[in-house]
Amino acid sequence: MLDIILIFVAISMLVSVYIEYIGGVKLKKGIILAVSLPYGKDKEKEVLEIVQNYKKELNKVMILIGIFFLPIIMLSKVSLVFIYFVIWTMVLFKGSSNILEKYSDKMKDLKRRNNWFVGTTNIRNIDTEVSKLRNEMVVSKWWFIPSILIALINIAVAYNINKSLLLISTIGLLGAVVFIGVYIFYGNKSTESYTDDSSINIAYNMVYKKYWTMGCVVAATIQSLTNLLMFIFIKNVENSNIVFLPIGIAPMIFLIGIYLITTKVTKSQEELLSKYKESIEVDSDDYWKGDVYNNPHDPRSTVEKRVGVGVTYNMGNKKGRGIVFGIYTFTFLVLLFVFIMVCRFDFVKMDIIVNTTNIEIKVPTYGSTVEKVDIEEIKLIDNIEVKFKTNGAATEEYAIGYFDVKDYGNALLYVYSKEGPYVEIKYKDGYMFIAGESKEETEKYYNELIK
Amino acid sequence: MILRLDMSSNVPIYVQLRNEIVMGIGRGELKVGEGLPTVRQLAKDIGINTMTVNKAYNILKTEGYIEIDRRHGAKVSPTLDKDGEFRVKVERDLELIIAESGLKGIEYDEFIKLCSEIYSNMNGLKLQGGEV
Repeated sequence: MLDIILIFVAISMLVSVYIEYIGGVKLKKGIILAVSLPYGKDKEKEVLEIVQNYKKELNKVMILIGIFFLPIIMLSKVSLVFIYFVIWTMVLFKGSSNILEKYSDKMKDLKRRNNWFVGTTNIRNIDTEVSKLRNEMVVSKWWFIPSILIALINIAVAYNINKSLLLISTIGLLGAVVFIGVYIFYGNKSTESYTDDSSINIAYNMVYKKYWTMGCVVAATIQSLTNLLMFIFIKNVENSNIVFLPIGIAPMIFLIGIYLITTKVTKSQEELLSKYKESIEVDSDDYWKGDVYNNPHDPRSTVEKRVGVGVTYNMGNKKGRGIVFGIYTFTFLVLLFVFIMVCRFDFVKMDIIVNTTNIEIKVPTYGSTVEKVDIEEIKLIDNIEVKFKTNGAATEEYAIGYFDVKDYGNALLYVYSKEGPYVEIKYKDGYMFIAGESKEETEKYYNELIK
Repeated sequence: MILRLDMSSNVPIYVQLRNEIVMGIGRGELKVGEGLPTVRQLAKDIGINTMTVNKAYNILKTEGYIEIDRRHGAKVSPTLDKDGEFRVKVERDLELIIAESGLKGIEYDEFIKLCSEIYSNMNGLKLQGGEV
């Protein structure tokens, strides 16, 4: 199951990175391979040659990176899978970015040799008519109310099913908050003016802001709905795989949505600009290195990406640099934390100590102590059916923590093997199941426990 | 109108902003009574601090090019120079420009012609005469 999810995630990542970078060969607002060219020069033989070579190398490298993912299936420990996946992701991002940089540099060289200089540098054009209307370009923030309401219903439903689900159920609300954040970001973004005609400039910015903020509202709603659906499934559906289906589908919808909005916005903007021949050209190529922007003269911390979807940060700007380092540090710390956690689960063995008055079970994070007087029954059973995890760590090899078990409800699991038997302990707080790595180990635990 | 700001220039942004707006009014790209973007809107679009825009607006207000109303924001409203204070400033500025021009070889007639051309291209000045 984990392998299938991983391969699915990897393919999605590979495809989205590929789509993003192959998009660089299309002429967008006079820019090709992150380099701005004068009108009509994109049809020059030398330009086409560079574009062809870029395509070839990108295809080759993407296939290589894809093949390079496959050995992950052979890794047994989750911690190793994790570290392999992180390295693979870094190679994917850095590799594709490097190819762009290489061909972008070649294009810049060509431009310099031919003296294809476009427009002025470091001029910001601001249309006062656009500025005046900027607050009306976004979809109203009140459209977020449904998603927040659904998220709250979500929490109520989860609380009703099982109190231990409360924490997970807040993810819906958290997601809505994240999308509101993205909405605010798009609302605050600087407008861009490329012509002397205010009506074109207004339409140009309107289509961008309206579609992206609308996307945020729709995404927040879908996100809350899929979360709600998951809890409805948890309550009514037995099959644990179906339970997580809505959660898996949501990111797919988001990706498709991002793709659709990008295509729509770019197309409309291109159409608007094509109506107006004399656009105001600003040549800031010297401040772009591949897809990295570093312009100390530009006060904006975020700018539209030249290749791909969304925005990139201005590394020449204190705030932009701060955000990037912040994101990197945060990601690194989260990855490190997760890595340490999975390592502990992978490599620290379970230890059961039977004292005179109590039983201590020592495992990372989810360890517990049960007083002997509280134990009502200890027996060996052949099989248990886990429905889903409520709070715990689970892989192909082990399940530690709190899980919803069929016929038992929420129970504590210390299970290191998929095959039975299991030691079932009934105590005053509910049920606990223990299984060692082998049948013999489990039986050894059982004998110790019933002493 | 399109404000063109040179981000790598030595001239501070608020000065550039002030000059652009004054020229915009003169050229007729900003009409008398027309509203300007709010300080926040403009600051977000340029990507600068609101203080910088505020400074430019305040200068424009004290110099008598715009009016700032608490409810309706800033709007174009040029006032005439009644006490002749501005005339003194123009004389001083012109002295420098004429000296520079003369030294660089621009003849008297050519200079006057240039001035009259630029003046007559200022569409905003014609409209305004009677109104103020």
